[in-house]
Amino acid sequence: MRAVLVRSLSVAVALALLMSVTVWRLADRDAGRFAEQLARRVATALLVPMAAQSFQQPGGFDRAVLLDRLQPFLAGGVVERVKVLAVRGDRATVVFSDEPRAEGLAEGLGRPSVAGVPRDASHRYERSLAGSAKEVFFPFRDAHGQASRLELYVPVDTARPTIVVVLAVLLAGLIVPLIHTRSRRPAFPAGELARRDLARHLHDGVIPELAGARMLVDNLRDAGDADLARAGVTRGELADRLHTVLSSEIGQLRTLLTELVPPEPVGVHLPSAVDGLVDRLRPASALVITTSVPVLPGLPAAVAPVLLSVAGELLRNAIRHASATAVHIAVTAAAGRIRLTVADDGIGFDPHAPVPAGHVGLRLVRDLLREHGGVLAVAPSSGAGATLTATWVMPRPTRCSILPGRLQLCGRNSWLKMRATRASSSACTCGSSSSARKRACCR
Amino acid sequence: MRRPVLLVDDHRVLADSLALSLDLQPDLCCAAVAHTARDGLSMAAAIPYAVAVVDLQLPDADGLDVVARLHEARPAAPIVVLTAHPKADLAQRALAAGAAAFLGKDLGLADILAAIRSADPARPQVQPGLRPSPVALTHRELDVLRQLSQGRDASRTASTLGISLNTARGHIKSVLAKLGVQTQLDAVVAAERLGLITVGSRY
Repeated sequence: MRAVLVRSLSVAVALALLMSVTVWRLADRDAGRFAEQLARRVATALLVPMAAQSFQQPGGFDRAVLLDRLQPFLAGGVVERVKVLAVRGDRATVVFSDEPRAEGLAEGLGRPSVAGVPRDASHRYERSLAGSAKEVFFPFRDAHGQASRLELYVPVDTARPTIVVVLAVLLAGLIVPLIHTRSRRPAFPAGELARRDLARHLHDGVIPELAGARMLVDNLRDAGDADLARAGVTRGELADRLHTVLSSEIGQLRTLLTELVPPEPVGVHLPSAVDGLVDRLRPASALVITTSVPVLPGLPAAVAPVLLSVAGELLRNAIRHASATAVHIAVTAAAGRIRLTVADDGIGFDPHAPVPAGHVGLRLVRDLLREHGGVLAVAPSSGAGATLTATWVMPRPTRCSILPGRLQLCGRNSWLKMRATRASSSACTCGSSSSARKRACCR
Repeated sequence: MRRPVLLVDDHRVLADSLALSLDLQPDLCCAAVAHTARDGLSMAAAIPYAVAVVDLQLPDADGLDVVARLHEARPAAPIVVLTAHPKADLAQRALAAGAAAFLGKDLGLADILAAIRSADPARPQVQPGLRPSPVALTHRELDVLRQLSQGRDASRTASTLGISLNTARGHIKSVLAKLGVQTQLDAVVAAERLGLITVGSRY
């Protein structure tokens, strides 16, 4: 498993890096294009007054007028720096800038018209600019026909944060599901507890009882009158016994069916379903099993079978391992919580002690609960009985009506969209995001 | 002369039906029915019987122990094991404990009666068609697996089986490897699926 995880992670990281480089390049190109368009718009507004000045003559241009023109663009952060350079041969010297200290600095020509700001002495005053910037050049001739150049420094803050965001999103998108699948992977398939219960019931109950019934049938068919007279039974009595066995069998199978596939609405049948469970599991010994189970009309359909399965497993554990004289099963519902408690007065067990007997069953109970949004609590006890409590926190139901075929926001989970499959519009209850609830909502 | 048969089985419907069936036979009768190991052993000491029919799953003790103690107390009376878990490895263990026959509970009445009539420790009989385990575990590995299935960890397994902790861990590792699983819990579930053990019982 570790090898798989490492391999998946390596693939994820490599993919993320590859995509980041691609995205970086695309973003950089976009930023350049964006900077050029922006700068062109600014330049259009600036070049006319610029061309009216004479930059290479001492006192040939009006600094105050130019700054006045630049001010709105600088204040609005559209451009971060403006420079006018006088071009002589292959050198250009800054003759005017909103940063006066930059005036007199010389820089080389021959760079593309849109470029990142170089980290050199000529651009020492641009290093303090917030974020990264692109330099955009516009050649023009001043009032004396001298070759000049307007340099606009346009902020392009988009590139780097975009990369960081993209990288983070990519990595998260690739890694989180991995971790999620790993941590949420149930130790067993969903129906393991139910499967085990069914198998055990068939194995220890149904099959031996039917074998017993078959013996009675064999006797009915094969026993001679002399045998019956000697044993002191009549065929009628044999048939009665057979009838009793089969009736009890039918009742037990019906109870089992109710546990597996409860009739709806479930909550209304909960007390009788729990009573049926108790009857089915009640041992021959003089164990007193009491129940306190109310009718719960709001019990979600998905929770009811889980509740019965858990109750059955906990009761079975109490019967088998607790050496108890009394077991009490209680279900309560309050403040959006449904609580199932199975308490016995047996030998008790410390949940922190090394692996109590029945551990496998409890692990299955925990897995089943976790899958259906519940938790199991074991009240620590030693020698004074044990109390196990399973709690489901019910999502606060919000009413929403779903129109047929429409995508509809469901309650507070606005990201969860559901498609109504019913032919007519109907009210539904929705809440949690689990797929079970989703089905319950849209059924 | 009808041969009295002692029944030790906690499954009431089956035990009572079998008791009635025995009484209906011209050559057999039911000596007594015990639903627990304790009752079975005390009845065996007090009541004469020719054959004992013992279930391996009893509420208060390991059925194999009952087989061994009955065999020890009265070696002449053959013991027929009647179980809901007719498995090959269990059959071997039952015969080793002194059983003369090993049958599944789903066998027909005629076969069960025939086995009771012909039970003889010198010629032990096992229900034909018992499936051998699909995964070949050694006796010790099965012992360890059974301990795990009862929720015991390596150290408790070691002390219960009277082996060292390292030996127990070695057996657990080899069980996991043979079953192709990662955890002890997965091993128990996989073994149950394969029919090697029955979770919740001692087998």
